[in-house]
This record gives sequence, C-alpha cells and structure tokens, in this order.
Amino acid sequence: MKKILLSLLIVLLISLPFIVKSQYFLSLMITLFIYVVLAESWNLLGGYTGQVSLGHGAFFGVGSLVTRLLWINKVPILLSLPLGGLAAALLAAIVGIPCFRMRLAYFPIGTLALSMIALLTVSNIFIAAGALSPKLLKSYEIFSRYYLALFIVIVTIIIIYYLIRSRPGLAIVAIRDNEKAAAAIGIKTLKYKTLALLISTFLAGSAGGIYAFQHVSYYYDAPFDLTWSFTPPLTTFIGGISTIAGPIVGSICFLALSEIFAVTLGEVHVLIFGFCFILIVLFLPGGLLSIKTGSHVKKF
Amino acid sequence: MDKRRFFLRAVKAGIVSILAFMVVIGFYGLSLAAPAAPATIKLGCVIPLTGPVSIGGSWIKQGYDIAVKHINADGGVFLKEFNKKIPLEIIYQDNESNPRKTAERMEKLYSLDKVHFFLGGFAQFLIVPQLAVAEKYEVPFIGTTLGSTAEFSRGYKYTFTPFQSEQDQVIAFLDVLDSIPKNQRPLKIAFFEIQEEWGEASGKYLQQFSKERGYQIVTQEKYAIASNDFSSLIVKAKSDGAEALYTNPTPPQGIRLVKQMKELNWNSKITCIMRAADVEAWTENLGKDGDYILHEGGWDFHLKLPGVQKFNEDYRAAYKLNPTPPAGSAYACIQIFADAINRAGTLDPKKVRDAIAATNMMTIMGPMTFAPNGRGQGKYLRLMAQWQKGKDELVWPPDQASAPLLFPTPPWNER
Amino acid sequence: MLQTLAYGILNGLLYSIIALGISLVFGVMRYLNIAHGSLIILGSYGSLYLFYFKLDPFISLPILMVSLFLAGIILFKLLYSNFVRLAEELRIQKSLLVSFGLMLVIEHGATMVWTSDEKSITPFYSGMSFEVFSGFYVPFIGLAGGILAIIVIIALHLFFSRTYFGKSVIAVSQDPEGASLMGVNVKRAFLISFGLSVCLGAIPSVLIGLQAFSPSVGITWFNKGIVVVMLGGLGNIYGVFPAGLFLGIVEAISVFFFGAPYREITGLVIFVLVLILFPKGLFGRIPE
Repeated sequence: MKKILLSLLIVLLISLPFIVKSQYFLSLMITLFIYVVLAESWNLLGGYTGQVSLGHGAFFGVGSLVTRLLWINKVPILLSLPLGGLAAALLAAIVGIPCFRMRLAYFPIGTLALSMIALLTVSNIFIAAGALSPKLLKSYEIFSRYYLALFIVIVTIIIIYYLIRSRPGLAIVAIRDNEKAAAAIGIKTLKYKTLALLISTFLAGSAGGIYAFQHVSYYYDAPFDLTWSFTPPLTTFIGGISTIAGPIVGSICFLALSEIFAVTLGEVHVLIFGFCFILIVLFLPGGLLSIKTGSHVKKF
Repeated sequence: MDKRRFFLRAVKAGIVSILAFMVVIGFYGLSLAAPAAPATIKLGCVIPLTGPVSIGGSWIKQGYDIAVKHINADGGVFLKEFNKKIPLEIIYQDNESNPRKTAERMEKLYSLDKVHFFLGGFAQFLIVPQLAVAEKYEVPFIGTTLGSTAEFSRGYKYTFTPFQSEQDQVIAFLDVLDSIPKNQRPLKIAFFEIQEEWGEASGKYLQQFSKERGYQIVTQEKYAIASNDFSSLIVKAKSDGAEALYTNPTPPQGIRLVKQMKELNWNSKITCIMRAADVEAWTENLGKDGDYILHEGGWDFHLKLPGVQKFNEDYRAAYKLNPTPPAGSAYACIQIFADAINRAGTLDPKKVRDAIAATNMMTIMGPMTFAPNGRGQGKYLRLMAQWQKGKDELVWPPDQASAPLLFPTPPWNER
Repeated sequence: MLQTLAYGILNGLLYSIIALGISLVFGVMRYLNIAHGSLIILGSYGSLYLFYFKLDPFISLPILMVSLFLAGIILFKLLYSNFVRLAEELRIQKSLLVSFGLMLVIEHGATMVWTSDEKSITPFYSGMSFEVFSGFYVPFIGLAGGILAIIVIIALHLFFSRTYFGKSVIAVSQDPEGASLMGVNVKRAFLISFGLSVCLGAIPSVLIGLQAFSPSVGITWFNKGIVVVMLGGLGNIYGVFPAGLFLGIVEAISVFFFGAPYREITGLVIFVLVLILFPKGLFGRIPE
C-alpha cells in the first residue's frame, strides 16, 4: 500500500510541470525541495548521529557560492552543482571535524559560530550582487531547475534511506544513543561521525547549488543568512526527528503555512505564524508525525 | 484527553487541507488570459511590509498610494489602444525584508496576479533581486532607493530608476563644500566606508571627485554592517586631522556613531550621514546631538517644484508627518509610469519600455530623463538637507533651499 | 588603541550581563531561551516609555526589573512549564522551538506597535565622557553600565551563597531530583529562576536602549550572549564575566590586526578555537 502511494507521488511530482504551468508554483516547489534536501541532510547529522548542528547555513552557502561562481563562468550546472557540494564537504572536513572535539552540548553553538563567521566573511568579501547577465537571463527556464531539484531530492532520500539501514548506519545511530557505550564496544566513533558529517554537508551544499541555479539575482551573502541554519532543525523537530518523513512533513508545513499566511494575511502574517508555531510545539510533543504513530518514540 | 485527540485530528485535517490548498493554488495558475480592455492597469510591487526595514516599505507605499489616488481621481491613464481611461491598481506583496522571498513574491505577482508592470520596493539589497526578475520576464520596472551604478551596468533593458546615483550623492556633498568660502573650507575629509556595495562605490567616487576638486581623503576606514563600535575609526580620523566626514551607516549605526563622536569629543566641522539621518526619528532619538548633520534621501519636501505642494498636503493629511524622501521619489515613479503608458498608448511591455526610456517630463523630483542604462537624470537630483534645531531643512541647491547651510558645526562642549 | 580597548571592556561587560540571563535559565533547567534577546529589547521599549514620562532610564531601572520579572513568570507559566518533566535533550529542543516562536511573536508584535524604526534614548548626559588623560575618554554611560554589571555579579553571588532560596536554586541546577527529595519546591525554583533571568535582562535593556535598538535586533544580542555563555562554560554562571570580558577585549584588539570590518569575525573565530582547544569552555563544569 505504502509503495503504491509512494510511486503515485513520484509520478505526480514528475508530471507536475506539465499539469501546472505557473512559474510561481514551480518556483515554490523548488524552494520546497531545497528545504527538504537541507532538512534531510541536517537530520542525518543531527537526528541520526545526534550531533545537532546549527551551522548548516555555512555549508549551504558555500555550496551555493561555488556553484554560482562556476556556473556563471560557463561550467555546466551538472558539474558545478556537485562541485558545490564537494566544496561544502571540504569545508566541513577542515573546520567541522575539529568541532567534534567539543562537548556535545557545545556543538550547536560552536557550529552556529561557524555559520556566523561564514556570513560575516562573505558579506565583507563579496560585496556586489551576483546577477545573471542578459544572455543567461534569456536562457532561463524553470523546467530544468525543477527536474534537477527533484532529482536531487530523490537521490538524497535514497542515500539516507540506505545509509541508515546499512552497517555504518547502525554505528551512527549507536553513537547517537550513547556515544560512550558505542566507543566501548569498539565503534570508531570519530570515523562514523565524520562520515555522517561529510555526507550531510555534501547534500547541504548541493541544496545550495539548487538555490544558485534557481535564483536570477541575489547578493552572495543571502544563502549564508542564519535562517538557513535555523530552519532545518526547526522543520525537522516539528516534523519528527530521526525519521525520513519527518523533515519532509516539517518542511512542507513550515513552507506552506508561511507562504499562505504571507500571501493572504497582510501585515500580521508572521505574527500569526509565530502563534501557530508555538501552538504546534506545545501540543504536539513528538512532532507532527506523532499524530500518526501516537508516540514520541524515535523511529528509524 | 478527548480534547487533545480532537485537537490533534483538527491539526491533521488542517495539514491535509494546507497541502490541498497548495495544489489548488497551482491549478489556479492555469487561469485564462486577460480579456480585451483590462479593468485596471496592474502594477505589482513587492515591498517589506514586515521585518527590519518595514518602516521604509511603508514610506514607499505611502508615496505610491497617494500618486495612484491623484491619477485615478481623473479616471486613470488614457490608453489609445482602448480609447479610454483606465485606472491604476497596485498589488502589494510582502517580502518580509528577505531578499529570497522578494524574487518569489515577484513570481507570484507575475504568474498569479498577472501584473502588467513592476514597481520597486525599498532598500537596495531587497530591490536588486527584483531587477533580474523583471528583466527575465521583460516587464518594465521602475523603482527607487536604488543608487547603484553597478546594478545598472549589466545591460538590462527593462529596469529604470529616477533615484539619484552614488555619484550624484557624492557630488552634492562636494558641491556644498565648494560653496563654503575658501578661507574656511575644510579640505581634509574622512570617509567611513560601510562594507556593502553602496559604501564601496561611494568611496570610489569620493576619491575620484575629491582629487579633481582639491580635497584630500585623509582617512578611509571600513566597517561592517553588523558593527556598532566606531571608536577606532573616530580616533583615527581625529589623529589624521580630518575636518569633514562622509559616511552611509545603517540607522542604528548612525545613532551610535554620533553618540561616540560626542563621547570621544571629535569636532568635525561638517558631517554627512547618509541614510541614517534621513528619518524623522533622527531628531527624536538624538535631540540636539543630531543637529548640523547633513544627509540626503533622494527627494525633499521643501522643493519648490510643480506638484510638490499638493503632494505635501495630501501626505500630511493622511499620515500626520512631513513627507519622507522615499515617499516623494516613489510618487515620481508612478508619475513616470503613467506618462509613459499614456505615450505608448498600449499595455504592451516592449512599447511601454521604449516610452519610459524616452521620458522627458516634469515630476515632483524635477525634470526627468533616463540615461541608456536606465538611471534617471535630472537637474534636482543633487540635493543636501541639514538638521537644524530639530527641523530638517533643505540647504542645497541654493535656488531650492529652505534655509542656509550652518557651517561650521560648533564643538560639542559649546552646544 | 587604548580607547578601543576601553570600549571593548565595556562591551564585554554588557555581553556578560546578557549571557548571565541565558546561563541562569540553561544552568537551572536546561532551557535554551532564544527569545532572551527579544525580551531585552522589549525592556528597552519599556525604558523608552518611562523616559517619555521624564524618568531617567537608570532611575526607572527598578521598575523595569520588576516588570520584566513578572513578564518572565507569566511567560514561564504559559509556555515553558509543560515540559519541565521531559528528558534533558528534549527539553533543550522544545525550549528552543518555543522560544523561536516567542521571538517571532515579540519581534513582529513590536514592529506592529512601534514600527521597525530605530529608537534611542538620549538623556542629557548622553555623550558625556571623562577625559582621563589627553585623547583618552571613558564614556559616562558605558562606565555606569560597567559598574552596574559588577554590582549585579556581587549581588547574585550573595544571593546564591547566602540565601536559602539561592542555595536551593543551585541545588536544583545540579540535581533536580535530589533537590526535590531534600524538600525543595523544584517547580517554584524553576519559575522564579526564569523570572529572575528575564529580570536581569533589564540592565542590558537600559544600556542597549541608550545606544540604539529596533524590534529585530534581539537575536543579534542573543548571539553575543550565547557565545559568551559557551565560552565561559555551561553550568558555570560566574564564568560569563571573564568570558564576556575576554570576548570584548578580543574584538577590540582584533581591530588593530585585521581592521574594523573583521571585529565580530575574529571574536567568533577565537570562540570556535577556544571551544576546540578547551572542549568544556574556559571554566566549564557541565556534567556529561
């Protein structure tokens, strides 16, 4: 039953641009895909490995920056985007791994600091906006962007699904549940944490690449904004941490709610969004998925 | 327990309906083409209605709304194609002071609301993304609070702004300095450069034009947008013997800067604080410490130009304040659109675009034409205002000034 | 350079007091209150209003402290009391989420009431400074703030070590179950601690109010505060003072090596380096 629903959903998503021609809607879907990829990537590190990172904005931003710079300089997007992801993972290798030395409780704020450093540095260095030339603008169309984003979402979910069910996945979850115990039974915790980190940041960087491909003009520090660091954990917490569906559900609700409010409610929309947000947090302790499962047990 | 279960079910239902709603919005996008003579000329405008710069968004909206009211009072804009007057209508969307959402909401205006033309929002960092979207769809765009020359050097054809450029701002400042009698004229200028496009460009032009006119930039120091401590810059300016200051801080930075100048007892003889000192709140917040500061926001309500008085009256009646500079330049944007659409006689984007490029009219910003890159050119784009005794006075150019320039600024301990 | 250093020290003390409120709440009940910065800004608006009624911000400080204390208690009861019983990591998560929502509400509510326009309190002594020696000025307001900060730390120390209630708060922060077994009303301790933390925010409210503020700057100050909390070490309330000074001084010194635009960045980089080299923070003693 589940498999049928899932395949129907995929068919729907693939055929969407032919059914709905509105650029606005497709653009929104792409943004949703970015949110989902980012949230899933965050969840790999935060939900499944237990390392709550508040710095994913830095990796998202780096992926976006590298992809954009390469693409504007005639490197085809199918190459620029993975290179953006690699750049993000490289950054993670250099600064993220040392951060594992921090005590668990400090890791979030340490990574938040990384995100802030990235934002401030890029703001200072890249002052001009990265707008597309008239030639690139003329060649802009939404289909390629949509399908690329959809492809990346599907690949991301597949990667995470199989990773969690593999042997490294078991190690990762063991680390989350009790790092000391895991080390005691011989799991090389640093190796697996690093694995999770690198995959997670590669995916986050790829999400950044989609952003770079999607937007026609933005100041280079826009994808480094701290909201990109806060939103993935927020949506994942809301949707249900440590599940594959959690980040997806959380992202959909977060984005849908804020868009709909913004488009229909006028000046009070963020205020109302804030209230709804608080209500959801207070009354749904396990995240939205707990409505179905009825518990706050962490699931695979 | 029952209540909770019910609530949970309600939330679940809510979520399902939200998802359904999204699909519905998508299908709505399939709506049919517009009928022959549209009921209104739709102008799409994405502005910050919420978020950190929402106050600026409200000023722009005020200017647009009054302008539309004036034009529609007569029935609207006459279009030869339909042989009748059609009223203007602005559809606003909030961008929450967020650049990414700016582009998205413009997409909505274009796809769903089917706007004919775009109006700019507020603040350069929010408007720059809009330029590319307008160009992508080849829809004419007129916006204000956009001083950047770089953003108009990309070869875009559909974007226009009547607003003064960075060069105009710097030249206005130097013109004011030039007007001071030679024996009192400050020749050593300090420039505090904010780390954003506007700051960098202003620095470039200030260096270039100062050299031509015999001034010297003795201090050029950078600061970040996030920074709120200017002590090191002020100390350097003091020790370099600077007598004048030019800078473009954000509003909170501007306040902090002046307070630190006083704490560190730096007596600059003439100080120009762009952007931060534009607001009415400047004098509310700083009291007499805010006096003598020069600033410039693109337009000034003291201008003795056609239409200004009517605009001032309507603005004061509606909002109980003196018209802010962005409101004035926003009003001019609508004037230009109305004129261009009328001359084009049609709503066809390309023809309106060409009409805008050929603009040669009087607006409340003065006579206006456009350079090939879309930047406005006009006699009264180089203005300077100064806070005097808690009131904002226009001090440059002399033929429009409401009060003479107060120079030099008295030292702190003599005020 | 001395001048910038002076400002750096005064800034550092400001960061410390902000961090104090955050650290108190985290240390006692493992809640992370992101809205702390926004609450401080709310206090600044309060101070501004009292100023309109001709009350100097320093004089109206006690009124502000009491109001914020009450506000803290009300907020705690409304929002934070449900998940007092949850496991520690869930508590951090939940409090993070709730305070995020609260921050949105406060920020946008404040924008609706007061617009996003900048505000600043400028009493007659604004800008006054003592010229200690030629070219070196100590600003009056900054100095007053610094002295206040020192008074607060002394008062807090006395509170925690001499009063029954203070000692019970420390007990609760170390071991809630043990404390309740000893007869401490844990729930009340949480309630009062939260109120106290917001109340402590009144001091930064005044100091920031005397600089410049608008509804959206809350998170910026929070970021500074949380960095200081981590630097000083979680679970150690007194650690925030040396940590705050450290951050302020590092920022000031960095101006001379890297230039003004890199001030904040250097502070953050040093912060990350410190955490990497001293995983528990400079003085931390958080239980694992």
